[in-house]
Amino acid sequence: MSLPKYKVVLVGDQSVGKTAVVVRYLKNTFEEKAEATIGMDFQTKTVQLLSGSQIRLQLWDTAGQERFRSLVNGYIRDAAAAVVCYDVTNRQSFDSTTQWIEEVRQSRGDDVLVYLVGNKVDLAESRQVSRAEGEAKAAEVKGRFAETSARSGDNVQELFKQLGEALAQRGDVGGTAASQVKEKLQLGGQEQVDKKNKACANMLPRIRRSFAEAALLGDLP
Amino acid sequence: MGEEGRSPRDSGVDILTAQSGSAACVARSEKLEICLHPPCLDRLMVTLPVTMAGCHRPGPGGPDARDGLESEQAPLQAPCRRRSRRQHVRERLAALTMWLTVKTEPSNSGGTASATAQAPPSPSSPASARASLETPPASPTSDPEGLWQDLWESISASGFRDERSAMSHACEMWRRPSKKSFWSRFARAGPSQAQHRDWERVSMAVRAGVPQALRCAVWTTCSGAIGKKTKVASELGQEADVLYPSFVSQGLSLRNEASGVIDVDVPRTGCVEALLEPLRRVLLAFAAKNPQIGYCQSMNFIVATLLECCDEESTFWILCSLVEDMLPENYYTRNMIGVRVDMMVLNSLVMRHLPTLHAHFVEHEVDLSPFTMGWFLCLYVNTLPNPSLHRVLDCLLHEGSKVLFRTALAILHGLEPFLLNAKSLTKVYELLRSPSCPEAELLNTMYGSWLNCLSMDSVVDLRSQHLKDVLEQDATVEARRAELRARREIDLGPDPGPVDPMVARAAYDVSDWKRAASGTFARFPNMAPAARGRERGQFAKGFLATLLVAALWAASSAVSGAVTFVTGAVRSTPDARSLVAREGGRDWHAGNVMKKIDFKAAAAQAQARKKKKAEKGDGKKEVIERPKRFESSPVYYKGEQVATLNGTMSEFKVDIWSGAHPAWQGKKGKVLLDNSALTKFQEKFGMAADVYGEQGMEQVKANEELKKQQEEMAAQGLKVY
Repeated sequence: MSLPKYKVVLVGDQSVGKTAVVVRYLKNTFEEKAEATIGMDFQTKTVQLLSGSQIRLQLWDTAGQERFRSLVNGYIRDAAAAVVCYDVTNRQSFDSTTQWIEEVRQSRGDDVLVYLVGNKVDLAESRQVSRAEGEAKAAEVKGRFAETSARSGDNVQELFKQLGEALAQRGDVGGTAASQVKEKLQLGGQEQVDKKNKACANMLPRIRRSFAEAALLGDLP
Repeated sequence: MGEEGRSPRDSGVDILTAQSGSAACVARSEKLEICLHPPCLDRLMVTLPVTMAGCHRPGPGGPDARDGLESEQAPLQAPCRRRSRRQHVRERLAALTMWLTVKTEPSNSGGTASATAQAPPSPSSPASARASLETPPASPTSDPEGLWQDLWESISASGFRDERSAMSHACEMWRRPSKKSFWSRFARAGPSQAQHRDWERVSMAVRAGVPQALRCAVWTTCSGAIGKKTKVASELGQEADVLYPSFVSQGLSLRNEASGVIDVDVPRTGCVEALLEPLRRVLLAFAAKNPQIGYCQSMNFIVATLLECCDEESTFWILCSLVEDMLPENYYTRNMIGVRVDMMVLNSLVMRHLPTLHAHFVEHEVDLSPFTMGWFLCLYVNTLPNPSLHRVLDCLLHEGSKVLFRTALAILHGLEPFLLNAKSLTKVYELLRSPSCPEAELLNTMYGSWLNCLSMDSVVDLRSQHLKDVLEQDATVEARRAELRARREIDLGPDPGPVDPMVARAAYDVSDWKRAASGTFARFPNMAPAARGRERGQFAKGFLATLLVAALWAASSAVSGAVTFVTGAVRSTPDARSLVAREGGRDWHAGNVMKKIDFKAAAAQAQARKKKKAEKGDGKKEVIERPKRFESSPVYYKGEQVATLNGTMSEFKVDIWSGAHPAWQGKKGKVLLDNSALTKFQEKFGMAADVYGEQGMEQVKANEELKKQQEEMAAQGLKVY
């Protein structure tokens, strides 16, 4: 039996620690000088939920440098959840989370679960972004908030556990998430098919209703 | 060096072998010309039978390598039959002179080592020349290495080290990304035939692998780095040798995004400590030289790899030549269109050359580009292990960006059996993360005959094709973004005030439908002709599906006008009707068109009929006798009341009931509805609860709970019924 899959993307400016967070989560290690991610990287992990069931997270780690955005954007739009990372010791990385969130929400709007994550909290002395600011921003973008440290491992496991729970709770969206991961192919036609399906799904209740009305008014042929 | 054990004569013969090997290859198609040799040359050739015998030695890259080479060179060879005899004689003499020079040189200088010391043509690479003295190549007698030493000696001996020489010229010709027209071919064929002959020889040797000691020199020459340096020097009007230091000093004073990222990236490139500072300087100098490119992550890996083989300044010029000339435009620039185009080109190439694999990927919905993106940007650094990486870089710096595609296809080809077994994204990516290909096999596959038709021209063609697609994509995304922004502004604008929820819902439904429909319509004219042809089928499908849905909606809302319109539209296209029929699951064959129904009239008729009936009934009131109905009449068994029932009797007297049945003793077993239709349905369409209600959901939940309970029992080692 295949587990329900959810596409989770990690986005954010360069060297905020996206890869480090993923590595900490998957292997529980920390590398001081991790190589920069070029393009995208892909990992999967099965999450055990409190309810006893399991789901699988597909973690897409992305390149952070600004110019990679146009490259990466095409692959993050259909994500079920986005972990938008910033570096609490770097104000600029915090500011650019707005653009990342906008990019992620572009195609699926509020269906995307957004986690705003401030990383590197172990560097408390050089902190530039306070927790309150982060929380305020998360509330503003209707996302959830967490502060982590990949170096010390603070909060990283909890972050993904919560993420998994939240994704599983919104099962209906998740049900489509798995298919959406699959549907993402550069062959452009897929999108159209999706649109069609959506249109039909929207029509269904209406058709039913109008048939019922017709039946009330008189007899149907 | 490989010549310790050989006599100078031996090496000389080898050189000529290598030299005339390609000449003979070219001449194979024109045997006639060999007969036209002047007598003196003939005699010389006869005195060197070894040479002629060596001509037929297969190329070090295997027969395939030569095939690949010839297919690309073939058009250039054709016009050479027209060459005059005098020209031919002149060429032969030049080859002979070269042979004599090379043959005498090692014996004059008393050792092959000094010949190597002269060999690297790059004036800026004394370090690597020294290195070659100190560290002899690992396998000195292996074929490619001997071939290389000989080739390189002959090239440097015949004055080719000059950047305006034939070799550099040929390099430029080969790599030039513009399309080769018939005229340019013709124009080039005459005077540069000799250059191409040399060029072919160089290609063969490069594909066979460059010895580590010569790598710096070969890379610098073949990538056009020397030419780049003099060109920039003449443009800026400065001495060529002060250019790099001046760029470095400019770079060190940079304070922008590029310098910031470089400072972060250099320590985490993962190279040895000693290379960090040169790495940083090269990157900064490049950022200073190309402010519009600046620095792109992945350049650090490339430079670190180049630095392992070359000195700092050569690395800088190789990088410049690579990024500015060899790779397509916009590879590392802000929007990285070049890479995105190349991803699509690669996809088409996979489809063309590995159709099975492509079909497999399409079937399992695997998109390679997130991975190949990294391959292309890093030029396979971090992907391939070191020996294969160097071999790929040899070819890449020599032949240009098509090697990137050849390598990708070769890797996929090598992994094809495994990839065909991998049915999920995860497994495919695991395989591709670190593809393990033995270097010789990789190179053989890269230049195998299956990729014969993959030339720079075809790549350029594909690139220009896909550039349109990428630009279109960008335009679509941009339009969408603008639309979203506009909508958000509207949303934030005037507060609409409290709205009746039903009205709001209806308005949303209609606007939603309209949006969906208009999206379909609006996208149609925007498509490019190429893409339109490809996607027309799907568009038509989507379009017609929308029509169908609209038709049903319109019909059932009793808008007869809309029905006429839609059926009219459907009827107007013959194949459209069959599509609609198929989509609707109905058999509408020709002549059997949808019946027009005037719902209003039908409703009015029905009302009238009812009214008439009611009026008629007034006259003779029909009395229907129905049995009396009792609620909760007692059930007696042996004089005792055991239950109550509804029915037409005031009391029931029974002889047997479930409480006193001999066999059936009430509900004891559990009824699992796991496979029942209702449960299945709800599990599948639980999302459509607004249509079908909550019916059956409690059973689904009960089942889940029961299952959990059973699992717990099983975990405790209890028996589960």
